[in-house]
Amino acid sequence: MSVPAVHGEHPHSDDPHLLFAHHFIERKQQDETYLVGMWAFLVTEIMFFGALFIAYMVYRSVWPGEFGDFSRAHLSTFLGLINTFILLFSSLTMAMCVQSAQRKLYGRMQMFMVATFLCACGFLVVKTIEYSRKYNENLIPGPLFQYSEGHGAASTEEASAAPEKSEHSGAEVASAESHSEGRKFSLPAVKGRGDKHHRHAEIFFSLYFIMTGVHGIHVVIGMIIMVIILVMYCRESPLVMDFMPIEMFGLYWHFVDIVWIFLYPALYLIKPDLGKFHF
Amino acid sequence: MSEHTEIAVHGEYQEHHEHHYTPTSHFLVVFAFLIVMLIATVAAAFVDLQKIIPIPGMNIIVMLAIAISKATAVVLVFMEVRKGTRLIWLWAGAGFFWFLMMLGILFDYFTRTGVTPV
Repeated sequence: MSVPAVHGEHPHSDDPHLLFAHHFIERKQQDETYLVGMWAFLVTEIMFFGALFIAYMVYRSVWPGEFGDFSRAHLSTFLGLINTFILLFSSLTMAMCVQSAQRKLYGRMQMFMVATFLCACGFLVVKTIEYSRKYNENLIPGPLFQYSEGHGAASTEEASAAPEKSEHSGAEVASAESHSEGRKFSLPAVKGRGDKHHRHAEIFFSLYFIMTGVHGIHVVIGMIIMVIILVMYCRESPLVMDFMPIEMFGLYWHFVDIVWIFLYPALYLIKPDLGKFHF
Repeated sequence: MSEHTEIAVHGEYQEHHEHHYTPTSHFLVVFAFLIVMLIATVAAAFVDLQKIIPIPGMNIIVMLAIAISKATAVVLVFMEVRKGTRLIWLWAGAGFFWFLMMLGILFDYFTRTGVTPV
């Protein structure tokens, strides 16, 4: 009995590890091509998020004090820290998932992927808490946006008197103008709409929601893909029995984590206040 | 005789089958590094570093340095670029090189006078 050739005639010839598409000369080349394809996509993502970060940097460099105030007053450093920890941990579980797929330990792979999915769920829960707070404080940019000093104080007589003022009312309140530059955070002043400080706040929160919102969408997309992979795994689809799709998704997930690694200090850690380091 | 064949088959199968994987310990070390850096960045945020080292924007420099080191660790180890081919390095580098170029364009804003946003 002769030793069968490994490729094709091997008893495990339907094992995807030994097969590659006809336009490649070897398996290693195919693997590299898949990874390059994923990296090409990640480069476009870098361009996408990079542009947002630079827009944020431009505005922050022009109004550093104000952006620090907005961040300190309304962004919870603690919740952001929880989210960062969750995503870093999910990166670890994702790396372990990829390693398990490479070692063909499919049970472990499934377990780590479920763990990553649960971390993503936790991230979205914290995000929902943050966003619902913003909604309650009237900080969602748009017709309902109402910026006021002080945590949670969303309305006063002045604000309730004109709730439908358009955001383009150019009338600047003279007294507010004199306060806007040398003002300290602790003054409980309330700004009316159309005020320069108010516009700057709306820009800050627009940037905040776009950057964290689009990042959140990427997390949701990742969760959908994870569900698809897990379902295909249960059906023993050959597509996921090979480690390469898992590795490609791993690249995507690590990138999502890297974006948050930069988002957290940029948005949440400008001028944090130790007294506010609470839930 | 058949045993020989089986062993030979098994050996050949394994030879073509091994895919080098990163050991778990590497991942755990990098994770520990990421957590330490996270604590460091939060701690540094509460301290006015410009008083310790009088360079303007010292806080931002330190924050950026920490974030870049974390991202580098994730890219090299978690994303396995460390053991990637040169083509992978080229694409990974291209992305971040683009971002550097974009940052360079940003500096144009600092030379503008009389133009303030909104």
